[in-house]
Amino acid sequence: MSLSSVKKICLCTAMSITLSVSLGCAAQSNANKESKVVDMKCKNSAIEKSNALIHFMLEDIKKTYPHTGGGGISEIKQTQTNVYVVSIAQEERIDQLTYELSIDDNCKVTLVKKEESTVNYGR
Amino acid sequence: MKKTLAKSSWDAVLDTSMCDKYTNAELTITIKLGFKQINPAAGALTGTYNDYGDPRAPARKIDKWTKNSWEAWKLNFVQSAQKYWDGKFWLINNFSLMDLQDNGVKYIPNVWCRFKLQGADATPGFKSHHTIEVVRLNKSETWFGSHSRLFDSLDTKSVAKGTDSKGRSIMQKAHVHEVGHLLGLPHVDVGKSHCPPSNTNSSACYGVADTDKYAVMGQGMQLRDSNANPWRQAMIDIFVKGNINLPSDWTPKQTRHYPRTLAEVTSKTLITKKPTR
Repeated sequence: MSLSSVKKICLCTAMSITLSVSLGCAAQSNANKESKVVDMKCKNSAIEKSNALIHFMLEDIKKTYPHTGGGGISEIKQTQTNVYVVSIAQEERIDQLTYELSIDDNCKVTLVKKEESTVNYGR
Repeated sequence: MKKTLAKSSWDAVLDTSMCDKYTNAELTITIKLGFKQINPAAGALTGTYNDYGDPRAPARKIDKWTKNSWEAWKLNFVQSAQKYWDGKFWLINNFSLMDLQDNGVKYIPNVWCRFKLQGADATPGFKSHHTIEVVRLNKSETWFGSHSRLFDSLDTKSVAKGTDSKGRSIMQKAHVHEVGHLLGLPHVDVGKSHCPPSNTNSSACYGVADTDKYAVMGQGMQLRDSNANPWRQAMIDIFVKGNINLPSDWTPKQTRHYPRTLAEVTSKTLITKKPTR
């Protein structure tokens, strides 16, 4: 394996971990000359930024939320800059996950804080 | 002898008339449910209704109940929930109460926990403990946000509520869980540090360890000894004797335990096979 191949694999792995969205590894390896444009995506586009943040939360929920039943995600609401509340409908309750995130110009998302709460119904 | 107990959420009757050296007393808790249809507005055949009855929550498509679908749903609800909760526990009588004589021998019966669910349309003429509203979901819908006072037509079906540590689905019929609440049972992990006392509907209260997740008051269908607490509390209230927090008081068992002699009570002997007497 050449050194450049190793570098590409490492880059892809790093990108998977940071969940920089919209940057497929294949596309990245072919688009180095456009990297300046790609890197600034989240600085120049609020939609790209939202996309990266929401993808981060959805991936986290997929990996960590244990209750597979219920009605699924009923709402994703921004309550502050980089703070979102994700509501998941369940019997008797709505589980709410509050994410406080940070994001850089390269769409690298980092979890600052996550809190769980519940809206109760019935009883 | 019959002793009765009336609570706001259920009634109980302790019957010792059948007791003999092989037969325990029966404590029957009865819940009367008044069912009320929720139909689309203005007499339409189809419409929408919001999860939890909360206009801020997502709306689901609903159909108008027909006479047949309504009667069939009520019957299935009552029969299946009653079958689930009826006759599953025996309470060990360590107080030597309700004793009987047979050929000069004194026997102490235990208590078989029975459950009766009576359902009828919610009308002024039917005195119910609880009124349950029910929506009939349209075929295109797979889920509705229900709770112990608001059900949907799919709540009697088994659905995946969660997964265990090995990724296996945990199935539950929502109505048996909700009837557990009507009996007064809390979620399985209430009292544990990860279940906040201020919010016992929090997701962690439905079980964190697999064994708790599979419990009926968690995400599954399995009974736990603690699910006998409504019957234990009824015995404590009827005789004004005992403490729900003491395991030795009306100890719950999930297998039949036969009446005991005084000597067997004193020696704490339990009899699970029919004795020769």
